[in-house]
Amino acid sequence: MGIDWASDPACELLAARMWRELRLAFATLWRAGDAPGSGDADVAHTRAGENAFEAFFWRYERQIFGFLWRMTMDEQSAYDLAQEAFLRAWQHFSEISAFRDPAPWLFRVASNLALTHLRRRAARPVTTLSEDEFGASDPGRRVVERDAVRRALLRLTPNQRAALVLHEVYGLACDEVGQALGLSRDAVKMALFRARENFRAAYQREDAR
Amino acid sequence: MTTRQALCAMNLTPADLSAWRSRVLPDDAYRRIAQHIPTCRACQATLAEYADLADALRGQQVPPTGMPLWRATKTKIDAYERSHMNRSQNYLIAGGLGVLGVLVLAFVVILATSLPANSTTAQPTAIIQPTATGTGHKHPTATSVPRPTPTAMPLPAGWTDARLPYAKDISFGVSDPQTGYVCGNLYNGTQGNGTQNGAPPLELGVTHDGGATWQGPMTLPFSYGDCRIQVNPFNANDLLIGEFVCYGCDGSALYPRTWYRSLDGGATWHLVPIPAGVGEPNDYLIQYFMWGGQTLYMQILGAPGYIGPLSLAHSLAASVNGGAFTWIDSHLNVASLGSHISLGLMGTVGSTLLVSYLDTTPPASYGFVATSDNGATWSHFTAQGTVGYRLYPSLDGTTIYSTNGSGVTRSSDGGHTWMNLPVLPATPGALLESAQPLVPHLPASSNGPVKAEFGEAPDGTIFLGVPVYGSSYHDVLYEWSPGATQWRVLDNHGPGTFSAVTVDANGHPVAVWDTIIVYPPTKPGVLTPLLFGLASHSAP
Repeated sequence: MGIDWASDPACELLAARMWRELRLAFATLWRAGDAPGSGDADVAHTRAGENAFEAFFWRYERQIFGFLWRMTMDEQSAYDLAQEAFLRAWQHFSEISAFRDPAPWLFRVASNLALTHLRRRAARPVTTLSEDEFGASDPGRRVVERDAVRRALLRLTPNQRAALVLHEVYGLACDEVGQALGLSRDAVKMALFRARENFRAAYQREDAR
Repeated sequence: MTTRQALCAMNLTPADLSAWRSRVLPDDAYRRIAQHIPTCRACQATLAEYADLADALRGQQVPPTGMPLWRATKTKIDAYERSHMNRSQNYLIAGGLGVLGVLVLAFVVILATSLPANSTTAQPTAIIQPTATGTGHKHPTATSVPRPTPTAMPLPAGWTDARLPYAKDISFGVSDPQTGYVCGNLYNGTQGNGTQNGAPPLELGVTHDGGATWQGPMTLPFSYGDCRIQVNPFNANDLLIGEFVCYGCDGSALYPRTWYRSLDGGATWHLVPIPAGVGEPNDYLIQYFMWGGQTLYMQILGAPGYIGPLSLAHSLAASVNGGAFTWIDSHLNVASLGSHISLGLMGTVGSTLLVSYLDTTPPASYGFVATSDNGATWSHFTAQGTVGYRLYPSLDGTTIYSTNGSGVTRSSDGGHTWMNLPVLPATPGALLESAQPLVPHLPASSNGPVKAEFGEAPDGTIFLGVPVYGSSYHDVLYEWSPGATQWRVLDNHGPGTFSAVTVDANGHPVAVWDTIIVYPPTKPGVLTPLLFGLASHSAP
């Protein structure tokens, strides 16, 4: 007794599905075995990718760290967040390496990380967002305690600070700042104005101390 | 910071001026305010405050990062990749189980369908759904790939190995052409890209006999992966070294970091100060520098997002000879130059500083802006003649050269009119394309200087290294003497990137210096050139 594959629709369907299962399973096996570095071509591919990412890192590390440092006012936090930002860049490197200018993308990631970090820090019980909290892990803190710029920056809200630093220090256009911070163009305009005015007032106070 | 006092006759508020500064106003409003500002002290004061604010922010000294941050990042990436790989292994197991399940199911189905006709037929819903098929998202891994031991290519006839394996750049004095310097570090072939930065330290070699013998190497007190060196043409004991982050150290990606200066022939060094108010030193890329008259110009790339090196922000530096660096604002609104601006090398002709740019707005054209007052005012003009955007000033400051589709062109009137030197002989694969200016062998990611591609001896002899791509990469080194009707090919199997010319007391060239390609092929047919070591070719 045999199976009439051709005439039995159920068998036909079953055969088709079995074939699909087998193809999927082998595709899974194939992909899993296709680990980078498994052949000469992959070695070259791996090296090229590694080199490209390293170049990318060196191109942007000062900007990203500097931005995060200004946002968090803490060297260790900036250090940790910069690593996280570059890890995310690595995870999306195949996409962002095709960008003509990947900086806005990177700043957007860094902004999100910084704002999340500041929100968590502000939400911690007992302590509040105070000047003393910033820079606690910074070895050079005593030196910069008198840093009027730093203290003036602390007077700004995180969004104002991010907008001001991204725009004035790192040269992002208002639209790019808006994309980085999830704000409209008008909101960025207002944030920049308030940041400038607040910073100016705080800076003048600090200067007079 | 200044204080606001006067009132604005136009009733502009600080919010208006903030918006104007940020360029978020409609064009007509922007222009109206721009015309008003020069006449309004109140607005000027407010804008000056905002400018001071920006200067203060940029002037903050950001803590150093460099290698520690890279290593920490790489560790994090490695951990991510390991976890990624573990997931892949899980998928492999799941996939295997899926296959097994399918086979078992098939066996059951076959058994079932082999039963008598009144038996229950297996239903499609009983089929096990596909297992996970992997992420399908593949990243380059951070796996370290050991590099083969470097070996030098055989030198072409006429070339002598200078036995300076650490040398990556070379510069000879103009006032004392017998004195020259090389800088670089020794690449031992086992270091990864990152470890090129920081160790081993940079070295300096010195010659006082035109390169016949070299003293050193002296270890320099700073160390990133690559360097560029320039001797003050008026004082051979005065030299600058630009320290570059080196990725790959093949000259393809050099990111300038810091500049050091020695006034005693390399015995002692000091950091070239980049004053507060112009940004973090490391955020500004010093792309090229040269001596023009008594002034040192530097081209500074702005932070990401700036349209180019010369923005309204401080980005152009000048120093009187003596090292008292005074940073000037270029006052050059690059946005006015066009939509896609490619700023080229700056050159000096007498006291004029030229900046060329490519405006790709159709029809694409090259234009120039020039200043004779250190950037206070700029004039715009379009060059007469075919000129590329890379400029090479002559040693005496009277002539400026550029490269175009057919070779070299020069101008003696500040860039207004250009005349071609004899056309270069056709070289298959040479990067002298008619559709674009000569593009020296610098990948798009590179910000490295290109001075090595062009050289001029005091007697007017010109050397030009033209990179050629084909089955292998090499330079063709051309020589042109004043009055000659054609270029002479000095070598068409050139080892690397043309670097320098040694001249005698009369300014006649006696040797040209080039880099040796020492890196063996990474895959068949592809050579990776390393700026590593020097060879000299005696001029006839």
